[in-house]
Amino acid sequence: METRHSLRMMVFASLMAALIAVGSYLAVPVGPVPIVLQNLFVLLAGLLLGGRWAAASVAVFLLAGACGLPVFANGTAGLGRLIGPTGGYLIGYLAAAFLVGIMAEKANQRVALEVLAMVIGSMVVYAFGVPWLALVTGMPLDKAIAVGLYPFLIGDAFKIAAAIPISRAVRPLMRTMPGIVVAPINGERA
Amino acid sequence: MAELSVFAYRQGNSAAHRLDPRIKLISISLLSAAILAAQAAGLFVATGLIIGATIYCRVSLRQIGHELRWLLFMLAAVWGIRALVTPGETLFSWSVFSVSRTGVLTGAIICWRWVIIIFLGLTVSVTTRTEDIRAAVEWFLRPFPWLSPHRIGTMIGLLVRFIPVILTHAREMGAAQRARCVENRKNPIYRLRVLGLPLLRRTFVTADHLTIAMEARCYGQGRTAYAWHFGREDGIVLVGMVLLSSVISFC
Repeated sequence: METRHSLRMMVFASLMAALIAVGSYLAVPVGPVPIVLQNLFVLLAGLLLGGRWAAASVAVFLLAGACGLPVFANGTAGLGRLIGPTGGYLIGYLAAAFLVGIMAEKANQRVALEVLAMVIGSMVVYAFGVPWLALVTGMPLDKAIAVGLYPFLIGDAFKIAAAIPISRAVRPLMRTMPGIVVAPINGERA
Repeated sequence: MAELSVFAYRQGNSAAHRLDPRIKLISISLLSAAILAAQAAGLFVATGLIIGATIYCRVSLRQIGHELRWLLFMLAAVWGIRALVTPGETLFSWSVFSVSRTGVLTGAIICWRWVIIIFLGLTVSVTTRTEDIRAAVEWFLRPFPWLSPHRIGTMIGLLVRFIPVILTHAREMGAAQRARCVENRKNPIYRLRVLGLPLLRRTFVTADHLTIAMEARCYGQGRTAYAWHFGREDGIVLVGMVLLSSVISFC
């Protein structure tokens, strides 16, 4: 049976997946490399939803894309995107969301630990993305790092810095539903 | 953007539209795997098939080119890098750069495979409703006991439904902030916060309303089952695709 908590988390995870999909269109044009919001939303999914639901959110996004629903950047879809040059980053999102979520659950809203979780999460994205890029393009690893990692580091630092106040502001919204008292289920904090 | 993309579903009543979505997913998986294993001859066969399918789906090539311009640019870059870094017999060289024959050939084959697989995805996206893909995904996930196919199906449905909604929200917020001269603020953390926060807040409020609406309509596991129509044509297509994939992969 669907409990209220799990139904709510399911809807949150689905909408977070939609945000991740939309994130590839949204960019802040500051500096030479525009800061794309997609991985900010992946990190936020981890912070806000916790490990399992964040992983579910990204997994649904990837599954929908792999099965031909137009959710990837520029409305593309299909396996072609996952095995293409940037496919490694997409797979990395899954691991990153899960890890950030697990660590954020343990961090219990301590800023330093949350920042650490997001730094590790971002590194995990590149740990999947850069070797894949190198493999696919046949570039040596140091060149792949030069084009697939360095240009994004500053943007990632800004994203991590912005994710903390955003998660602070959004968390209270998740705790209570307007006008409805949410009962704790299985000893979980609702 | 998402709702106007060439990759969006188009109404129609062609054989490709009527085909069982499960068969479509099996077909593209088989064909993708075959194409990844194929060499030039197999790729020619697949290209012919894809050109036929694209014309059949009535998608204009110009539109596709426009939508995929960044992707094509990326593929061209991959080809260029491959040509430069792969060692082998030199075709021509200019100062420190030398283009090798094997690099050009392997790069071309790799990019060609991607283009075909992307077009395969396009044919499925254009001819299949979200509802059908969702039902097919649920059907394929049934054998896994630790997954809840209904829930995953619902999540996929919500994801696709809410992409245009969130995109509209994002555009409204972008316009409102430009009207307030956000472009004069150079601090990227500030910019990220004022773009991300209202979007996230609005999305979560929407999610809350949606949860209440779903509960009010007694959402649960007992959903009305999708009506499958597996006909003779579906069987023929399936056998045809298995044969075609083996031909492509061994060519």
